[in-house]
Amino acid sequence: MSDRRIHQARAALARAEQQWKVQVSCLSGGPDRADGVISRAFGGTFLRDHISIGGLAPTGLHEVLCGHDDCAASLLAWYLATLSEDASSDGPPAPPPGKGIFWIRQRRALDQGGFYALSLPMTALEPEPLMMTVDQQATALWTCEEVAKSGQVRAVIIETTDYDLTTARRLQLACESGGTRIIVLRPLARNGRIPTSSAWTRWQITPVNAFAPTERPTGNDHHLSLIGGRGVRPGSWKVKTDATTFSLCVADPLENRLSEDNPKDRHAHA
Amino acid sequence: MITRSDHKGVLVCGLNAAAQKSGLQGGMRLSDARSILPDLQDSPEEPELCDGKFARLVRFMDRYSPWIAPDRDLHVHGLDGDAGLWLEITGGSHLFGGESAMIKQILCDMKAQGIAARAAIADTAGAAWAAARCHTGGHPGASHERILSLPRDHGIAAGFPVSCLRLSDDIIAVLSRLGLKHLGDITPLPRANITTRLGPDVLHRLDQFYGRLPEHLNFELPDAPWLIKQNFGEPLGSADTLAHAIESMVAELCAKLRDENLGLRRLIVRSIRVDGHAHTITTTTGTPCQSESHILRLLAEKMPGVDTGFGIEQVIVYAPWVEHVAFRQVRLDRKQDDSSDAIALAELLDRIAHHLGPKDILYRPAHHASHLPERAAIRQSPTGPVKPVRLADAPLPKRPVRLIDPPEPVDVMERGATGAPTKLRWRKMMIDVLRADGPERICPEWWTHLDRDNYALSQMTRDYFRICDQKGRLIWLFRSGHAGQDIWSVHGLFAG
Repeated sequence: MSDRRIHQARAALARAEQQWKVQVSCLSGGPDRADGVISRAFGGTFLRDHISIGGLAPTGLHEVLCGHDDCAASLLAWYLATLSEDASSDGPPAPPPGKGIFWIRQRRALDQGGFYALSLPMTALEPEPLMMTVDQQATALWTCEEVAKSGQVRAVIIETTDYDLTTARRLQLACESGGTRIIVLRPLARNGRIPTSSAWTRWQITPVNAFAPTERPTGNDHHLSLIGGRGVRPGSWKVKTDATTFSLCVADPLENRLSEDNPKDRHAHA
Repeated sequence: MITRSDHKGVLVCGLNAAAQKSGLQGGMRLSDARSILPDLQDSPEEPELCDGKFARLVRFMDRYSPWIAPDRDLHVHGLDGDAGLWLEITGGSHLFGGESAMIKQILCDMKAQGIAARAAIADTAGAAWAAARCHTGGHPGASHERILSLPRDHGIAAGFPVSCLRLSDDIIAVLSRLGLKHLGDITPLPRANITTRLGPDVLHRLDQFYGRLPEHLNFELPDAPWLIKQNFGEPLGSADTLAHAIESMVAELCAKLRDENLGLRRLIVRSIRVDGHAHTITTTTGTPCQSESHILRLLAEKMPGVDTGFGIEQVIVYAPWVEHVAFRQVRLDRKQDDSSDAIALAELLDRIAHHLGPKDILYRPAHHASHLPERAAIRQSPTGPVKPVRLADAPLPKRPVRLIDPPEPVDVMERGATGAPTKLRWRKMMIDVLRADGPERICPEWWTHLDRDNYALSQMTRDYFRICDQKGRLIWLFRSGHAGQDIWSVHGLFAG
């Protein structure tokens, strides 16, 4: 009972803090204000209240679940790979020199084609990324572990099919050994269930679709959900994505709902 | 039959046994050869292929002796069918059970390679050359034993034809006219008379035959001395001892390379067993490497495949490809600082490349100046010269985050007034189009289709549309083909 009260109190404080930030943004003009909509680059400010360590772990295993839209998931994975662990900063910072991103694609793991590097701007592609296409999942996972262990890249993004907890633990140890972040793009199960995992954070991004009565799909609007993880309080945001400028902006901070208010998140957390 | 073309016409330069039996000879015109044998099958010579196979044969034969000299003179003069190899086996035949056993093993190996060969052992290079071609064999049961030991076999050598002295055709013709057809006919003659009548070549070759004059052979040696060979009196019976031996030899080789500021790009480790079987491990690096630990790590993946059998008696570590190393910071204890990111990344890529299969591809994406999406993104070597991932002078419109290559066909059920689809079926699912942007016209690269007219090119022109479906996805599809018979294909998906 006491835990629940503490949780509710923290939620209320977070909500109040969020409103206060919105007011401050309005007074100061805000970073991106157009058509009456305030948007801020998604980053540490939004994650500080949801992740116990204060931001995205720099050396952990993170998962992005791919449902209907592999493209937004791919963009999110690249964004998370470049996201700073600094809770005070928003958006991806300038990457350190010499360390790029290593993208491993397992054929037929995702069914919406391969990642197209020319969709991103030059700033997101520096230093030059390394890419690999493999047939077997074992080869993909071995390469991912080897690269993460070496610490020679900033992050490893891997598209793969389902894997077990032992594999996740091995990848986690490789991350800690090399100081690398691994982003796993894995598909949802056929029945739509979320597979079990021991990742630090688990994300899902779905496009705003026409089935919701109050929303109209634009292609840019997505629901971004932090659905679980270790030391994570679930949350969801309505974000605008744009690959050309490599931006992932929270379209309306007031849309942010905590896990207690969002039945979908509550279900995912359970 | 192999033919060669020169200013004289098409000449015969290679014959098989059946053609030789029919009376054909090397150097004759193809038309003459066809008049003798109308059903002759000929093919032009391929010097590069021939040289490559010859080089492989030389590498194959170095298990018997490191000193191998190809018969280049005959190779140059167009008598390839008679060309051969000299092997200096002094002090080495006992390793194969004696000279007779060695010849037998060499012939077995050549037969296994699909090469018809004759082999002989003699005291001099000239005598070995002659014995391989003219010796009839030791005794009827062992015709392969062409071992000529002078002066014991002086009688046998005396019966060899004079052509075995490797003389020019003119001199052989003169000798034939004089009735001097065998070596035994020349040796009793006064030397001064031979020199006066026939020139110095006859005596020179005769003295080389009998060992009175030395003969210098051009042995095939590596271009650089990046070879370490170690013989073991007690054969190495276990994989651990073999690995330890290779480790010390690789360390020695890397130390030599460091002194010359060189790095190896390819390393060959050859382990030769007591029974003559050789196991070769080849490893290649993406950048010049001087680190023995990295090389040993690469070799360790392939070492389990080595079968020591009854023991390894010789190990050869050879770096056939070395390159200069760019300047690197050297510590005061003269050890390289291998912790730099570039070296570590190159070593990581080497390890991955060694582990991957041929279907698994490691690359860096690069931008090619093309409007066609599938041709604009190219793959380049991860260790080669880096091309820009985006060309600054070739701006691109908005492109999808994921590209479907090759494009997937899609059935367009309904189209709007602008030509954009309003309802389509893709992957057995109906898609209602809520919004469509386009078209963006992309024409084919006309400079790659110079043989086609404008009409043919117009069919390859694509009109791209960006549509938003009821699920909120942004699909990139294009129309191509004839007017009225459009072909629609999905080429990618956007993320916003």
